Amino acid sequence: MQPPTVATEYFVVLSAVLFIMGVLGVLVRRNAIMIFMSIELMLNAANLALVAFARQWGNLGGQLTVFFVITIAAAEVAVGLALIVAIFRTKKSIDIDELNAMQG
Amino acid sequence: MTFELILFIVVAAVAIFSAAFMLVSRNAVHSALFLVVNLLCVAFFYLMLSAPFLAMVQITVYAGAIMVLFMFVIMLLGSERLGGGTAKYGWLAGGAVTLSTIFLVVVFLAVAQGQLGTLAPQPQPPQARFIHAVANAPAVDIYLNEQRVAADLSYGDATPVQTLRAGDYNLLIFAACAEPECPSPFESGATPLVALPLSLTAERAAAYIVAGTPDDLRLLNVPLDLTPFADENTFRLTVVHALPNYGALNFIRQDLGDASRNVVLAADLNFGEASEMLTLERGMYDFLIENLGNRVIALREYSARNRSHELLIISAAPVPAIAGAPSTRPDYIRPAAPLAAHAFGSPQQIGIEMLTTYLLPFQLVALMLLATMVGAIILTREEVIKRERKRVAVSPAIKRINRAIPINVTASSAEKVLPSGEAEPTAD
Repeated sequence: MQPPTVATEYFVVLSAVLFIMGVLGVLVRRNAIMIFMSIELMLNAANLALVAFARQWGNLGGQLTVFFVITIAAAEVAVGLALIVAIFRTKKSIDIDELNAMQG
Repeated sequence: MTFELILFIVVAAVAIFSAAFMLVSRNAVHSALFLVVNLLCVAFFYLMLSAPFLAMVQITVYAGAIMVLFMFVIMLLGSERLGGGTAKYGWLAGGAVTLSTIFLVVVFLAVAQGQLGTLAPQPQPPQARFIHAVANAPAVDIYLNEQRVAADLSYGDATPVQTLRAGDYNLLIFAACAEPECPSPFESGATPLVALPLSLTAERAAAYIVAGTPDDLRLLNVPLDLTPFADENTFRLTVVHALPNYGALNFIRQDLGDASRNVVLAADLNFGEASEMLTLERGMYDFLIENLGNRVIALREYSARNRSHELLIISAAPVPAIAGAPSTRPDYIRPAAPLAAHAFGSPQQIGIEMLTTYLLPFQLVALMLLATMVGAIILTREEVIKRERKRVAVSPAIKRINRAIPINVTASSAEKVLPSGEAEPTAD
């Protein structure tokens, strides 16, 4: 295996920054679709760290985990967006501050 | 600063800015497009991290399918214009920024102090295989210290490639015993046929060939190369001279139609020498092995599997004894060739791992996708939504809980209350 040209640490820091931006999006934005997109951002940041460590250790497990994460993210988006559509058609709004039927 | 590092910094900046624009954009379509840019940047990083297959999956699944789904829902709901955050949970923003800053500081400190555990990758342990190439010699057992690495190896046999531990060993070759229940040669005090020191180093693979004559056993060390191939349609070939009492051999690739186009692939191999490793394209080859212009062996229509490291051991083969004395003739041994590993992160390697080590998670994820598909279809069915709408509208308990929100304004009742044109409440 060739020696890494860009150190793993750089990728980890970048991944942390992207993850934080996803967290901020989830906590600050009130639109359900925006929250979903922020979650995708967080998943991607985690995937980036996994692939970086997979290269670091020469272990394919990290890459395969990313593969499963992508699959699960696709499933999550399909169900999540179906929920958003259903909620919108019931309540005519996707502002999550108004979704407090369970007194959350 | 290398080219790769500059590239990394540029693309990382694009990724961070696109994520930031995604967060602050007031238009959901713009947000989705910025997220696509971010996902493409991550796909680029996957390419840099030697994960080409994942990069392609990222582009097709994430930047393709998932983002189309997002755009579709945004446009379907007509929620391009996003409202600002409500005052109700405004304190979350301050808390989120504080916590994020703390987390980032922790990560930076961990990286700066080198506490990520990013040590150098473990070296590959040494690999070795053992081959018996002495005609008329007894079958042998081969020991490294007291560990048996080859059992009952007779002429032409080869062990598969074994992974051993690096270190210095004593290699001992004993005559294999014929009985089914053998005492260990260390207990019975048998004298080894050959004893010599052997040092195995990490990252190396080698074939150890027992060669020579029955009275004079030698051990030849031929390096193997099991690293991934640059071109998967080629194989590696090493020719070993293990033919005792013969002078220098030439290894020639023959053109049967035109002798002037013969190519000498290895010249002047003496006993015990191995040729340089040759990398050949797949195909049929005619080889000629000659000694001072005299044909020793000719191989016709030689072909090998892709990605294998073939050994062609020129050795003496036993012939039926004439008048008592065992005799030999020149021949060759072609032990089953080991295949080189696929390149790290290549689709082939991912496919093999996915269907062996990770078969159970793979099946579970497939099952989950099926359940998801059914779930998404049921959630968006018209009857379900109508029933839900009715339940929400009539249930007094829910009405009491949610009295702050005008949820009982359904599409039909809204039309009665509001003049047409204002019937559709806007999103947010």
